[in-house]
Amino acid sequence: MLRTFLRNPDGQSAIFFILVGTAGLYFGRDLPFGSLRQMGAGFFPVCIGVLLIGIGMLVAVQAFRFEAEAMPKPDWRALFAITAAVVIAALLMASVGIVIAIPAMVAIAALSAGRPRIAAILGTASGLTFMAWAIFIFGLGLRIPVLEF
Amino acid sequence: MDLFANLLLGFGEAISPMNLLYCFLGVLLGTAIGVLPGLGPLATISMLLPLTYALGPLPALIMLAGIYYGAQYGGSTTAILVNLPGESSSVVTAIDGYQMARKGRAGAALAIAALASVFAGTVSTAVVAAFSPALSEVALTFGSVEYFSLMVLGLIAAVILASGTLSKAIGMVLVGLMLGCIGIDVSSGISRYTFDVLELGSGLEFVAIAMGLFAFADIVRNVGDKADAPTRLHAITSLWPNRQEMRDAAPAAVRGTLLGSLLGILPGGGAAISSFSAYTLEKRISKRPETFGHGAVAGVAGPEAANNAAAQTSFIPMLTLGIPSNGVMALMMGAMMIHNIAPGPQVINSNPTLFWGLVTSMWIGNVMLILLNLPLVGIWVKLISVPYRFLYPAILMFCIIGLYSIQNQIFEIIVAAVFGAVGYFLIRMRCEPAPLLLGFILGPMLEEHLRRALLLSRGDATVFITHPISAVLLGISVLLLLTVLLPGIRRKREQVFAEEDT
Repeated sequence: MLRTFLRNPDGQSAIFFILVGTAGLYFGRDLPFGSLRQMGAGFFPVCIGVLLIGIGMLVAVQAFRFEAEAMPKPDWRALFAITAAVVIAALLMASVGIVIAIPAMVAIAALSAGRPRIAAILGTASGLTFMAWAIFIFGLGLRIPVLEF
Repeated sequence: MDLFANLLLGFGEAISPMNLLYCFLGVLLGTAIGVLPGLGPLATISMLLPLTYALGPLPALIMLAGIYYGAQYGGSTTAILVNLPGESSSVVTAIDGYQMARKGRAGAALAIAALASVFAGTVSTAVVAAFSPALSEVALTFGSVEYFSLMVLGLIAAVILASGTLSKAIGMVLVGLMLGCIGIDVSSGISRYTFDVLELGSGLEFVAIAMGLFAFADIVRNVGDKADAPTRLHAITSLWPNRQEMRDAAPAAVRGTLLGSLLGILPGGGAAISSFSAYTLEKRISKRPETFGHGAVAGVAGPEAANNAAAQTSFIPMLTLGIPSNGVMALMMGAMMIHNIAPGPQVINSNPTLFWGLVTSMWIGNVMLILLNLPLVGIWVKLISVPYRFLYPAILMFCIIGLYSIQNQIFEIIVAAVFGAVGYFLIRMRCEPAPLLLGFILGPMLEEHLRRALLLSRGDATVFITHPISAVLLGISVLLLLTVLLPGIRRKREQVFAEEDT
């Protein structure tokens, strides 16, 4: 029962809504609630939090009532590779500049699917780095670190 | 007449060389990115939004509007040529457009889509010009009570028309409202949910949320399947529709335009629902309904006209009431707020050049669309065949640099990465991300109007039903919710979206 609930899109949504609602209530517990006449900073978030938990429960009921559809496994490899590519590129961009950050991004993102092809990665990396420089730095004059140590 | 004076003022603004250039650039970039399979207007606009930060408010909006039509039309091109609709509004175009392409009429389908779009754009721009001032007048009399109820209605209507389960769409709006609370509360100055992170003080950046949910999440979902898949294209022989095709297309385009203009104005309406309704209408009144699904010309012209008309008229509620009716309008509204323009009824009076300049540039943008699209179709075709493994790193690069340039810091990139991961799971959970964005944009305003309304009424919550306009608006909201919950309509709605999915 619980297994099918957890594998059901509705079941997962229910958990997600209840989690967000609970987090809103928990982390907002010290915000002044105020009164209807003088709404405090906590009034609105608390209302939303309560509504979210309510909707979450409603969705949970739906999840139990309707036949669960088979959900494919998450593509963890793609998820990790793409997220890591973005985060690492961000960190590198601020510290050493796009000449390092963009090739790193292309290389890490290439781990997301299939067998990485070195030639394709090198080509894409150099092409995109040039494009980034030409459009954003040369063309639009944005102040983005290009290469610095 | 006032209207002509206003339009003249608008044209004076819109045909300045710089504004024409930005309009052209917007349409060009929008089409170029919109034709890429899988990238709809939402992803395209959020990706290109940072490019417009450096511009003035009017050029920025002109460019964004151009990007929007460009992306929408680009999506239709892809739908016709490779049967890969980038977003829900071109799903319907793919049905008959792709069948026309298989019969060697790809060029005719593209030309019909373009001509129907331009016709619809012209008519619906006139609708925007004619109706906006009147609606603004009405909206100017609104107080916080009415605004609160109007926003509630807007959110509920948007949720009902969103595809997928109603309860989940409401949940997504609520999540968006909750995320909108992050940052320093404007009226009390108290930090909410900032966890002592300095960058969170001003709240989450909506572009970061949009890019995460629409661009990054989509890449994660698609990269596994698409990285090595080749794209098959149908050759374009002649661009001109023959006489019979023209005769079939013209009335369908007119009907689509009317339907789309109407559905675009409604809160929650927009391109997707309009194109679907237009397709259903054409199929129902056609003398040869059996041709639908096998390359019926009316099945391309009607929906294409409808989605473009709706794309224009959905600006009306955003510009006159400050209520975005769909995800794209939420992005447009966010863009206006970045330029310190609070969308609402005052814009038309306090900033007439901006308002009328934007309206007239919509029409200019539509004309550019056809001038650009038909001759350059060869280039778009080449873009469509760029393999996904080159495409997604380019999307990532554009997003990352765009996010960095917002504040010259990497915080927004990290936020987008988080929302990318969250968005991937939301897609798997069948939770439509657009309502979240609507809630996020409207949240702070909803709270502010609620607070002000209750302050003025001295804590009396019944003001929302004792004020007549507000009572009517809330009454419509309740009615809408009830109709969806009633079994008959519910089944119909599910059937509609089920057809849309296939």
